[in-house]
Parts: sequence; structure tokens; C-alpha cells
Amino acid sequence: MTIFNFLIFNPSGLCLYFKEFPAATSSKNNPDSWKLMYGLLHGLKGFSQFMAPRPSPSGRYLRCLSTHEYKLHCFETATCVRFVISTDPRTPDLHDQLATIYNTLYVEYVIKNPLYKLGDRIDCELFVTRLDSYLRSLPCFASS
Amino acid sequence: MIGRSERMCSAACLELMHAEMVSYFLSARETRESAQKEMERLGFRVGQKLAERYTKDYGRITEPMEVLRFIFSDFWPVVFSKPPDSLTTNNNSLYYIEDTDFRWTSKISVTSRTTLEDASYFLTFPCGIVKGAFAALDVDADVKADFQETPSRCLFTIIFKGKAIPTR
Repeated sequence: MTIFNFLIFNPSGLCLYFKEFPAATSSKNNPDSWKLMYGLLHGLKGFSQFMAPRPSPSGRYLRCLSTHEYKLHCFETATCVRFVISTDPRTPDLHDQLATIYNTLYVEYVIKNPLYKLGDRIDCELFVTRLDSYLRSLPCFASS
Repeated sequence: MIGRSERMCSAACLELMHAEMVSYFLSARETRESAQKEMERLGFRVGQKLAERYTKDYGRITEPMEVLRFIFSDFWPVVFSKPPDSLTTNNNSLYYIEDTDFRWTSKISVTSRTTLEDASYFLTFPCGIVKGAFAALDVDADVKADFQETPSRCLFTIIFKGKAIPTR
């Protein structure tokens, strides 16, 4: 079980943060990949809302996308900031972990950091280091 | 002991408002020094009023050492959410209050475009508060603060002036 990438998208589709772990041998560290990823999530959001058999009380539909090689977990906040994590397919749902990252790391060390301007790429030292240690502490992370 | 009111201010509200205040003064004044002076004056007035409010149940505090003890053990935990970590002196009218996890600046971290110096403007208002509290209790002291490596570790330097030098 392992983690490949972690991304944060802002409401207008800009990739604010991208982190790749060594397990991902095919690097997606380029703006085109991020744009493709955002396009997919945006399209899937509309599709999943349209095809829903009954309306969701939270307004959220897309939770994760599984393929044979990886699983994408998505968490969208009320302010339309999207947190995406790509892991191997056997990983259990990471929705709560993404919510924790939003509540305790993003809000505390990015939003409350007066030196960070909204809309910039995130490189706040405290956020980067704490996010790294949080992701490495998850049981689904194994450095292979 | 300072009585706790039932209505508490949201800490997030205070942090975000303080951040906007600093950014406003830095952009609205011609020089950084005049912005800092104005923020310190604001903090001074707030500190004076806070000291009035928090000493309403105390008798007269006359000795500068007593004032320093009041600021360290009673005033600081209420205004800055937690007690400070240590109080040291150079035995020559300089006292140092160290706070290893200063709540008002612990969320600040440098980015690729900013430095620790940019973060230092966030200590001016708290310094003003402490200076105002001393002044309200009739002690003339100057208060400066610096970061020790990271924005959460702060060292406040209190310089007692004139006849207000505390004697042990």
C-alpha cells in the first residue's frame, strides 16, 4: 500500500500544491498533467451530480475513482477547494484523512498564515513539513 | 486571579484580524517604521485598557518587581492564551520573557517570497500591549521582541527605564 501523489486545486482550477512520492515512477510533475486532472474532476463532478439516483445531503458526490493501477481520492470543501490524493488500489477510503488535512493543516498553516497570499502556489514552510510528516504517518504509506 | 468572563473571543477571528491590520498599516503608511510606530501606539492603548480591566480586583501594586510578576503570571496567560515559558534577566535593568509557542505568531511560516523579517511586523502590536500594561501600572518600560529561529519561539526584551528598575 502506498501513496503516489497529493494535489490541491483552488476553485478556478489552478493547482496550488503538488507533491509526488518516490513510488510514482511516471512523474506527473508538470502543469499539463495538473490541468488534465482538474478537467477530469470537474467533468466527473457534473456527471456524478447528474446521474445521482437521489440528491446527496452534503452536496458532494465524487469520492474516489479506482483503476487497476491506482485510486484517486477526492475531497471538495464548501469553498470549492479540492484535495486529491492518488494511492494504490488496495488503500481504504481516505476521505476522513483528507478532511483532517483540510481542517488541521490547510486552514491552520496556509489560510491563517499572513505571509501567504490567496491564489499563490503554496510553499509555506510549516504546511509543507507538517503535511509531509502527516502523509508519511498514515498506515497506507509504505516507502518501497 | 483574573476572573474569566463567559464570553470569549474566537482566536481565529483575532488572528485573522491582526493579520489584516498589519497588512493595512504596511500598505497605508509611507515607511515601515511609521507603520510600526503606529501599531505600537495602538497596542499601547489596548494594553493600558486591558491592564485597567484585569487589575480591578487587585489592591495597589507599587513595586516594579510586583508589576513584572503580575505581567508574567497573570496578565500574559489571559491576553496571549498561555503562560510564558521563562523569565530571565541580565541583572542590569534588562528582563527577558521567552515564549516558545507564542499563539499570535505560531501559524506564520516563511514562503519562497517572504522572509522572517516580514514576519517580525506581527510582534509590534503585542509588544505595544505589554508596554501599555506596564505604563498603566506606572512603570516606564520599553518592550521589544525577536524570533528565535522560527516564528513560534519569541523572546520579549523588557528595558526598564529611569527609577523604575526592579530590585530583587
